[in-house]
Amino acid sequence: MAEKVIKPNLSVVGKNQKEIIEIKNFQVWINENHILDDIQLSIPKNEITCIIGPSGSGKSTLIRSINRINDDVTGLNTQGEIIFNGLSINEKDVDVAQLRTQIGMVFQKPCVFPKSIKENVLFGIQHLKKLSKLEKLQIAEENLKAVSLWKEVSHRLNDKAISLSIGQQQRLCIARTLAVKPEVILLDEPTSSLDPVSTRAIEDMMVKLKENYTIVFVTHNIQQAKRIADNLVFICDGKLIEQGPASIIFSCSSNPQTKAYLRDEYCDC
Amino acid sequence: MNRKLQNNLFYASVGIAVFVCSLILLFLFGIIIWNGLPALSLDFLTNTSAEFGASGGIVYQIFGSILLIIFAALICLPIALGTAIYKSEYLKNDTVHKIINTLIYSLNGIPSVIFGIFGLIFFVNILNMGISWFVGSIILSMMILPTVTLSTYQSINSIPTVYRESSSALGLNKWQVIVQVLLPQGFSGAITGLLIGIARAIGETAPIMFIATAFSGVEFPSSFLEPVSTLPTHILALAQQATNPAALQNAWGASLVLVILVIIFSISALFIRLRHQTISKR
Repeated sequence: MAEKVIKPNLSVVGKNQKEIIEIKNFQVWINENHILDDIQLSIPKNEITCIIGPSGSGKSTLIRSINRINDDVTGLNTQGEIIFNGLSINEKDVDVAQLRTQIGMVFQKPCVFPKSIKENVLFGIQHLKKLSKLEKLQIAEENLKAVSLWKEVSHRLNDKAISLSIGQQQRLCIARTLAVKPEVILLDEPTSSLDPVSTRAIEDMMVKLKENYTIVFVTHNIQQAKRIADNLVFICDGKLIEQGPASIIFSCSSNPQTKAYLRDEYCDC
Repeated sequence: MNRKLQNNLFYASVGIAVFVCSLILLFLFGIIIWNGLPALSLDFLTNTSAEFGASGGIVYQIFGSILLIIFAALICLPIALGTAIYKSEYLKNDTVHKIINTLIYSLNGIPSVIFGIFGLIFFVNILNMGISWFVGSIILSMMILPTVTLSTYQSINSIPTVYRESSSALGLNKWQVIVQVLLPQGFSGAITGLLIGIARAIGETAPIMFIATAFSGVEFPSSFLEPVSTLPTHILALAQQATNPAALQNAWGASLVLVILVIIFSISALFIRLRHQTISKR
């Protein structure tokens, strides 16, 4: 079967160069539950888009739909379109494995494989292409430096990854994702199980990484969104309440629900 | 009866149950060791049997038993692994899940002599393969298939979803996720199940006595279609000539060797499981 290769669709890129992902009328059901209702969203290139909302609002489901990692959830049904680089990713013949090399993802809890630190960094990329010994070392160094882990682990690359602290493990997971060279990185509450120091380290890293990557960051921490977001998306009860530049929403949102949530971290929508 | 007395009575009765349980086991082991040990010697382990087993050793029987179970394991493992992977990673339909489970448990519940009769009718009579150790291996592999399948399934299925998601998020195909992530972590479960299955299969008499073994006159087989002699069928033959003290002595000796082999497989299974648990806890 011929699988669609994801190439930039020039007509779309020409129209609007800034948007890398467009979500149109997107709906999700899991069994009978309507999880996401008519989401319209555009994610600009090389910026940090933070998705905030109370727990259970559907922000994880939304971000997990962008690389179709939700596909294996039983009873999942979607409607509408997510367009990445001009390609509708929900078509049946899309090669999801290839899609995920372009849209990487980091999860809430760091999950390292029972292998060495170096092998963990190389885990994704070495399945995509053959690498020489030298290339492997270069890739490991480059990506561990990008997540500022190189100084801490350069002398023990062959140690088990599980020996690292949780914060270091999460940075290793980010390095592993970067090694595949995606265009977009999705992060689903990546700091919620980390200490404040590791959390800050990851936030600073995000700001640096947006030069080369588009970042979609789900968080329930409003202060964190304030620190790093270029764009803010507020989701509540499966509906998109407001989206726009973070500075504008934080300073003068006109939406009463957004205002209430930003003030009280609570909303009754 | 007051509550304190009730409590003590209950405690005493469960204690007695444990005592009886251990006693039976110790008694069995004791008798086998007591009677078998005098028969055991290097000659007994390395010589071929003579006079229908009344004299000589049991080297062909040990060889035959091990040959049967090795091939049974080799036949069983790929089928069990495939079923376990399909059930854990591909099958989403609950009804089909239940049907497969029912089939596996039913297969496990079939009495071993039925396997023997099936082998006799299907392989020996219909397919006309004759009495052959390889048919014995096929039948034994069917018998241990449920144990190995369920054990493998449980170890693969219990790997947290986050491992599957983390590896697919890096662009691995489903089969790469299975081969690179799930199988290495689930392998010890498969091996544990295999060893438990083998420990059971090596002691089976009924399924192989009609189709795979001969009681005397066997040598090392030179093809797939020859009979072998095995420890359990040898013990059966010797027990039938129990009036001869020499034959009885050798029956005890062969029993001891069989029990030792079973214990080796069971303890290796336990060891691998414990080792895996400590690794996954770390």
